[in-house]
Amino acid sequence: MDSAAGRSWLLVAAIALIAVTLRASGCTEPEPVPDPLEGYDLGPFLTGVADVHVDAGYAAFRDAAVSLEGELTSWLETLQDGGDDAARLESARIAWRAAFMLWQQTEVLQLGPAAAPPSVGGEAIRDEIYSWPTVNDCLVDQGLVDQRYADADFFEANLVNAYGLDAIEWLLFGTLTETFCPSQAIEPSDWDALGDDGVLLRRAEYALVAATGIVDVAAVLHTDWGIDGGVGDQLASPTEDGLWASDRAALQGVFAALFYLETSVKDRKLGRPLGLLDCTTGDTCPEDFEGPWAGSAVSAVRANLTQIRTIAAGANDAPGIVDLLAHVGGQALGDDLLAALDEAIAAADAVGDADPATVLADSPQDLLAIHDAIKRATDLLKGEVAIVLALTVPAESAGDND
Amino acid sequence: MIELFEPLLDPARRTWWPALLCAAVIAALLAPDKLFDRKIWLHRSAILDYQLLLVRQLVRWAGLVPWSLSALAVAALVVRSMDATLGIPALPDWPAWAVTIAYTGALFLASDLSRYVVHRVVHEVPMLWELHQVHHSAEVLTPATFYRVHPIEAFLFATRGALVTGAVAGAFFWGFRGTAEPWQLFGVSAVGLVFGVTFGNLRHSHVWVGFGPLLERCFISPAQHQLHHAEGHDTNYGAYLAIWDRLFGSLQLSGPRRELDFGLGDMPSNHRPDDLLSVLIGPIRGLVPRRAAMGTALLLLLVSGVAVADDDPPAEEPEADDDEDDDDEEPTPNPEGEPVPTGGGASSPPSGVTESLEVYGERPRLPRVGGSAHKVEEEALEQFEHNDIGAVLAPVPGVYVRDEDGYGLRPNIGLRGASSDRSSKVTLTEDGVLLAPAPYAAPAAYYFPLTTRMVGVEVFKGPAAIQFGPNTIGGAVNLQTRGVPDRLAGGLDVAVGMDRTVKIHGWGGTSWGWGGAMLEAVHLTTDGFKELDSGGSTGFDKSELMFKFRVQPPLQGPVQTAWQLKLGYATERSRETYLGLTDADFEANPTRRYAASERGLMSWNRTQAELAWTLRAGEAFEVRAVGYYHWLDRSWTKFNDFSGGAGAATVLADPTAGTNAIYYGILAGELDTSSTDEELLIGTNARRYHSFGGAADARWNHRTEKVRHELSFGVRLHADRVRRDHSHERFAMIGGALTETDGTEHVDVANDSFATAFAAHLHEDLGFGPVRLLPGLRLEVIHTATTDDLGEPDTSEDRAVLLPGFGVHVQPTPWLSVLGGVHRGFSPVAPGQAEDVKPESSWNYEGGARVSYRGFHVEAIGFFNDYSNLSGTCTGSVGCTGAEIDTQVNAGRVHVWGAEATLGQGIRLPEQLRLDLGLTYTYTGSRFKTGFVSPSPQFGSVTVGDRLPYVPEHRGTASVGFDFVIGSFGANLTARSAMRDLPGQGTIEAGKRIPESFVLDLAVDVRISRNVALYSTVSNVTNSRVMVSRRPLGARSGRPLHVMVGVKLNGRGDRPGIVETAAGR
Repeated sequence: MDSAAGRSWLLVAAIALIAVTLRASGCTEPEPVPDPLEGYDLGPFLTGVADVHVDAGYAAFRDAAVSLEGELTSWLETLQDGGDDAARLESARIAWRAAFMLWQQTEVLQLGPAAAPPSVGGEAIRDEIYSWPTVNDCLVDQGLVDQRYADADFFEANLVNAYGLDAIEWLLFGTLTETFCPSQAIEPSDWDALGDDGVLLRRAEYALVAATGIVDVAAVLHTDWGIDGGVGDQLASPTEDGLWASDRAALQGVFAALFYLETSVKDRKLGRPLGLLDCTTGDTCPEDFEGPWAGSAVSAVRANLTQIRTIAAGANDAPGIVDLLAHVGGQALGDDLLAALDEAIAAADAVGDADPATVLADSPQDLLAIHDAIKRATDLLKGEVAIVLALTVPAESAGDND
Repeated sequence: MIELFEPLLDPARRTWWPALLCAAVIAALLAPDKLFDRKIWLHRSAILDYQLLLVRQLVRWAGLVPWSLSALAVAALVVRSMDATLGIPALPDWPAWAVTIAYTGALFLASDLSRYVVHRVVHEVPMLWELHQVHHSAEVLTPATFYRVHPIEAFLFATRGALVTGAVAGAFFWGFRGTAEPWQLFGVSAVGLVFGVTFGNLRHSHVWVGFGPLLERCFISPAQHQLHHAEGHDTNYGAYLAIWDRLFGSLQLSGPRRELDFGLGDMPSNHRPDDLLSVLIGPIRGLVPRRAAMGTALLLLLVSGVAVADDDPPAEEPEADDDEDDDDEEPTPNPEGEPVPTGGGASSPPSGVTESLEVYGERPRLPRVGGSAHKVEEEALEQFEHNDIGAVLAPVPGVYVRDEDGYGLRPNIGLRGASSDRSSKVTLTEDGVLLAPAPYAAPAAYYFPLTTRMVGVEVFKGPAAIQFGPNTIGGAVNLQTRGVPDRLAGGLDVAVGMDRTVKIHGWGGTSWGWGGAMLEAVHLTTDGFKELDSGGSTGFDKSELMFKFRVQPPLQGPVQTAWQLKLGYATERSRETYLGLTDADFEANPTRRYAASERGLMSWNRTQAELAWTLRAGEAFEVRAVGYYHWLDRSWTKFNDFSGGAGAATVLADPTAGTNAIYYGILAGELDTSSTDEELLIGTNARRYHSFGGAADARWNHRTEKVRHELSFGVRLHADRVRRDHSHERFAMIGGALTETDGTEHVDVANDSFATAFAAHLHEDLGFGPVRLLPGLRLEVIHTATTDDLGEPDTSEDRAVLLPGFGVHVQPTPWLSVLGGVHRGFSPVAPGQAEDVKPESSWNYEGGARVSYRGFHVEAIGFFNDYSNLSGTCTGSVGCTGAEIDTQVNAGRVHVWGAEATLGQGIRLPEQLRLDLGLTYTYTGSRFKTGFVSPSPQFGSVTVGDRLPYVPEHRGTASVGFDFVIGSFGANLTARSAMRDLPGQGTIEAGKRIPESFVLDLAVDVRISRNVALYSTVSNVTNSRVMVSRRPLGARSGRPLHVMVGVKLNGRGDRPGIVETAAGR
């Protein structure tokens, strides 16, 4: 072998040694799979979700829960003193609505502990605060009779539909002195023995216990999210050993959470009462509206939509979903998404605070308008977005000098 | 490490092995002296070509790919720009074929023109010629000269490719909103691929191939490109088309054949053509001052290192219009010409004498089987009397059967990592006829015959699938039924067992001068081993009836014919459910069933009619044909899910979290339903299947002194249809029992799916000396359609795919054989799927060796399956509900690899005793190469590097069989490593883990007379707690300890329990 050939083989050997070393040490990454979001920094978007939307939402809700607890304390004290509780009751109701609406904004993005398993990091904390549609007003009344709410282990020993915002709604807005239970569930004599005043007093006691529980859970939720290295940090800056192993995984988590818009808002909150989905008791199912006692069904939907629109558009300098879409050639798609959400919000505004059951009976098309606009938004999310993010390029066959 | 071999394996590469093979064949025919000329292959210039290629691959393998222009990024930019300036267009109303032609043509023309332009530029611009002269410095031309390119120049061409392909792809994406698909073969633009495979490598060779003056004005011939390397270098710049050279005056026709001198000789720009360093650094030295040369060289080499990567791989593997089932490897005979034994003892040769002509499907293929094919012989089937195909296939390496109910009523068979769900990726046949209810429209095996009446089970893995289809990713399983006996014979088997299990199995038949008939019946019933919270049976009743009538005129001279009519009827009622348990409940009592499952009931009936004909002309020629019609009516009532809540699967995965605790209480009958959301949806999925068609196979043998070959050709015309009527009713759980609420049947699905398919296969078995070559080809042309009664749009799709394959079998000694093969795997798209759903396609490779010597047998086979698109079907059994049922999902690129080993030893002992020992082992590794989020619960969120679910990494069996004079004893241990419920990597989380299992089965039989034998089988002797699945709704248990005792009576044969199957081997 002459010197040139020998030198050449030495060079090949040296390159081989370097290649083996690099590969074995994991210093080099395998060739990345082309990604339509290649080159786009997801950090600002994820940080916006973590800080602007979720953390701020938890903080606001926690404060509202504390206010609710305060108003319920005042209501209870008034009842204990035998005074006229009407104003205190009304204040408590207002505080409940405020907390409820803030929670409606928060729960469109159930991430981390708030989410239900098997979502990443899910612990179903959301259910501890608000378990709708799994509610049981009769169970609450049973608890009122046997005063299980006074037990030290009340929250540990009972299921989530015995407490939470939904239970407080029944206690504050329900039939107040009448029970929801049939006679098989509560002995009428046991209920009658309490008397109206006794029932009201126990409703206040129960509601206060439930509100205290909400305050505790909300504080933990907010703390776990916001501490250094907490869930929020893990979402904003994913690492391999965090809840989300990469920016892409975190983005997928956010998108998955946003399908709350379809499964909860469109299908359950509107589709079921409108009779479009799983309504078995008639052409419509007004009894399946959310917040039946507070009449807050449409308000809740509006709160959901407003928050999702904020996430889609971006806020406080944080990019939104439309910015992601624009990067992959979907600017028009992003505009269509916002337009659909705006249309849904406008349709909800048109209904306003009217009783949903009445609207359903008199002008169902008003509710249908909200539903259909949401459907346009969710169809975009499921359809066009998937297409845009699935842009592919076919492989060229080999040619000389390539 | 596979990346190192990428030039051979990647269809986008000029040196893809079929392209090399094609060039070699042409060279062998036209210029064999050039093909085998050492002076060319070992020339110093050629050595440098190899070195450059090796360096290129090492750089890629090491991941030193700093940056490259991405065709995908270009496409995205084009789409964004066109959206912004021109807006989103309305989707043109073009037929799909027109779009494909336009897209394909545009890609090819743009690619070819840009190559011409850039090639000419690098010749005419002095600075760029410094780089390009590396390629022209080659003094000899070999296919490796293709890679003799300076990295910077490669970068330029890669950039060209990205710009051109990206621009065209982006424009078509914009115009057709993602619906445009080019014609591709093996994931590469088809037109260029055809050019490249046929003549590409001859461009860099010493084989003179001209196209003639007329054609050379249209297409660049290899001779013209050789002239480009030899004479002046200023002509014939074109890649495939000559039209650009004609247009721009650089065309040179090849003219008469002549010897050419390649290389640059004494040209000043010629760097040392045998010195790697000179070739890499020299061109840069020519461009920049000497001092800066080294630094510049390093920098530029780093930046351009990626150019070695060529064009970007597609973001998703493109749909395979022509992808089809592989098939070329006809099973090859083992050294001693006997079927490959499976663990469980050596197989015995077929018994009995026959003068009958085997009719369609009854003749076993396995005397010719070798490689990755196995047969479970009748003796092994009889010994353990398994009614469950999972237990039967346990000793076959490379096969995994996911149990559901503990009885194998609806087996999930997977081969070599292919999805096992409902056996839909495996071609199931009975006597060679498609067995699945609707093999094309709905292949999920909701029907499966009782294994107890089978006399053989053949498993063809990988390349053997050429004769089968449409699903050939994993392979095929053929069940062999009993044939009409040559003389009066019959048998009766009555057995009873635990859980009030009763089996009655009888058959009888005879033959006479011109024909024969046989009738067989089986009835199996049991109360089941699961315990329902609300009480009641969890078992099943299953009955099967088969009648065969054969007509075979007496010997007709050299040509013999035979007809056979086969009729069958089967029925089942099984109280089965998909509802499993939480982990805690499984730990407490794995055989528990929740109250919510009390209404589970599957009932079906199936009718089959087949008419087969065979003609044989001596030993050289045979034709077999069959017409068949099967129809299956099934209805399955079971708990689907709750009306509200997070879903039963989520509830069972974490029954204490939040509202899950409430729904769990209702499932278990411990809480009452208190709202409509808490109502239980009990669904009835009623389906009617029709499957019918005709198939014919012809086989021609020919032998000369040196060469022997067998050519087989088969065609099949098939149609099938499934009618789905799915509905549900609402129930409340009250006091631990299900109570109907609204009494209304709510319709969920009402549709029809149709499929018509034409399939043809051609297979050659060419042998000379110890070598056999087995090329093959399969064509599938499939039309599918759906209609919907609930307003969903009708759909229609046509697809044609061509699947090649190639196998080699070498038997250098009588006891040793070595084999290898490669084939294309395919699984079609079910009717009515979304436009973005692609067929499952893969390239499958296998290789191994077998030794058989005096009763000792060992075999080791390695396999690698490169899925360009894995797919999954969203069935109820994986956890899909409602409108998602029967939708198909893409799962992207996946690699599956593994090794299968079999070892068997038969030992003849004195006093007519025999001991058989067997071991099998399968290792399966897998990796998703793409990350995605799937709507199907079987995939969920997948990260690159995740392993496949429900594919055990390790699987094995150990068996001992002891034959003594008056009976036999057998023991079989089946072991499996833990599996994942969902894709993942690293340690398997507790809630997603299906623990490892070890199951020991025993069997003993004692002949008390010539025709009567008593037997007993004990399954799961140690009562091992086996979790078989977590899908779709919670943990489910395999069968615990089960004992059966029975008696067999046999009307013929020397050995009761070994039923004569003279015509049905």
